[in-house]
Amino acid sequence: MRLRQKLIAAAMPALAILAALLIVAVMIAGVGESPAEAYRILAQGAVGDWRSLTDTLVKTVPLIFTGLSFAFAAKCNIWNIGAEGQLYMGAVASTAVGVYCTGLPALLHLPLALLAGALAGGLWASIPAWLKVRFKINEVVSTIMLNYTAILVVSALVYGPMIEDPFKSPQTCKILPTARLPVLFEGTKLHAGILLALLACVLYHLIFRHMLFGYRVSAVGKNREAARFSGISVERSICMSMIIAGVFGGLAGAIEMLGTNGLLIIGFSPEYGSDGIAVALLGQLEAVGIFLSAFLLGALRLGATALQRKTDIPQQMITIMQGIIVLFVIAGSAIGRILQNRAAKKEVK
Amino acid sequence: MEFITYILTSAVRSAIPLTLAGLGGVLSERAGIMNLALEGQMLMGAFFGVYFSYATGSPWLGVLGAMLVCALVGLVMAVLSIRLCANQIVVATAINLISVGITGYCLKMFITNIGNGTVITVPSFRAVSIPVLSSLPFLGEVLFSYKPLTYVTILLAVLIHIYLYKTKLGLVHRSIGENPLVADTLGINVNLVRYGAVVACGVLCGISGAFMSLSNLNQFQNGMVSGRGFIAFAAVIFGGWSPFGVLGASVFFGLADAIQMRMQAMQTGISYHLLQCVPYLCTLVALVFARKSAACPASDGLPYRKEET
Repeated sequence: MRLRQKLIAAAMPALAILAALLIVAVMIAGVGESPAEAYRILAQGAVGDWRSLTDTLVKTVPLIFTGLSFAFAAKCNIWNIGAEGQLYMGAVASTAVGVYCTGLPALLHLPLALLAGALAGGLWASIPAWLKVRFKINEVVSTIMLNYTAILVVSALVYGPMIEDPFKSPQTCKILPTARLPVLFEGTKLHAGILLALLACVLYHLIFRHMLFGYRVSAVGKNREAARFSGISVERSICMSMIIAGVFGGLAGAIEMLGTNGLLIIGFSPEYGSDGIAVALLGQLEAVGIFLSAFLLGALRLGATALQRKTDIPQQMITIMQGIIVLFVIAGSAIGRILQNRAAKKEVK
Repeated sequence: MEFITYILTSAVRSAIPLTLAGLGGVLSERAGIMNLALEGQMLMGAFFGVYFSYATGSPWLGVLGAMLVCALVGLVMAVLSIRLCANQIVVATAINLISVGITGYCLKMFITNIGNGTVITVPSFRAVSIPVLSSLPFLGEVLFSYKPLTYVTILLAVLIHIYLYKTKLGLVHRSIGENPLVADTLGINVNLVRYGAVVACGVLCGISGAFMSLSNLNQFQNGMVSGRGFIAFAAVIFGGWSPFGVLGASVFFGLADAIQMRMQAMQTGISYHLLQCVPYLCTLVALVFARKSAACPASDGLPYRKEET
């Protein structure tokens, strides 16, 4: 019985992906393109050769972090839609350290820049955490308001004091080489950020499988009142999980700066924050699932740009596909729960 | 005087879409469905308003099309959150995500590609001047010189107020948001009312979005709702889950927006990026002060599972 449940749980995301691929295939056929050819171009562009494969991995890195960000809070039944803002805050803090802290050895400079990004993300997330615990303000609304605020504040900085040259396009100075994440393979863009992302996944897994802290957070997430009665500080768990979610979000931005971009330019994030929500939900809030779905959605994103280049299909197609996947995952798990309840009731009878 | 007139009229223009979506939020939440998908539905309304107005040549048919599409989106929200009892926040988030994709895709396929890069002009609303009244000094401009949907919105607020507080169905509607079990014991079809409320919310969001694209901007831009759906959600809370409360809260947020826009134009030396933060920060501050949650429907956000016997 339990094995069957586990199998169903594992098969569901796969079914959701399959269903989304089918629906999008119909849409592609509807605009007069061949779905098979479109998917071939998509796959070719995403993982067709060594270069596109490493590019996909580069795209996977921020998605893993924003996915972990959403998932960590979701484990506590808190909905962090604020990864985008945390990412911007992390990016600007690590860029500031990377640009303005001169004369440091790489061994010190790089960790310092990463730390700045993580702290900035965590601090930014502590605002909705505080508003939630102190004033019971819905965290979805507060994180979204703070997303817009973060992007505007960072824009003000990049257009203002941090601008490289006021007469050129708005971007900061280049981050010093001592703060850059090293490239892993010569001739590709793949940088050490992927290792940090893997490390973060392992850490996430350990926290929720083997640590008392993770157990407390999930206990609060499953049943707030029961957790309170058993002596867990609900407010503390909510705050901590939100702040850790913010740290993951901040690291997403920091690593994007120190690894991929090398400088801060407005609009560097193609909505990594909301992609992270899809990553976490598709990955069922589990570390392995998050890694796999981040890779899948990263590949889809990259493949979609190839698709847009070679056909008339706009790359927004992928956002639709992503949304359909998420809707099916939600519907699937809801139906699964209803069926389980029915089966349980029959057994009782 | 001219300054005050400007601020007031542009505050009303900003407040109307918030009010419309907020009224939808009131209907949905009074029935116990926490609707965070206002944003996505407004975005859909904004696009399909433009699309149907372009296709039919009439802005009124544009609004009608937007209402129909958003009713459909509301139905998806309703099935997932009522029939399947899925988490309402997650469902709404998914709807918001998918709306960004659908509108971005359709904009490229059906508007941008057709115009070959040139901007397509879409039939949109013109201001109606109410004879005599609109020529009054000051009052004429502040009260009687808007586009038709503005007056429709005020009317809708009054109608929804009457529905909720003066009709029997309205009483039933509110009781479901407070305690669906009691309503069910009295023989009321809880989920049917909830379906109606969520679909009606979708329709109102459709009008709201169409107002933004057909009355304020006369075109669709990607992501043009930019958080107003969530500000409307906040207006529902700030306005104490009542239609007139929402109207007042929306005017407050509209004022903040109008002052911020005016200050951008005045070149005060403050970064215009920072000025644009004002509406979002005002929303947070308003929520802090709107803590008196006694008005909050007691079962808001909780699915109702009827025992299968």
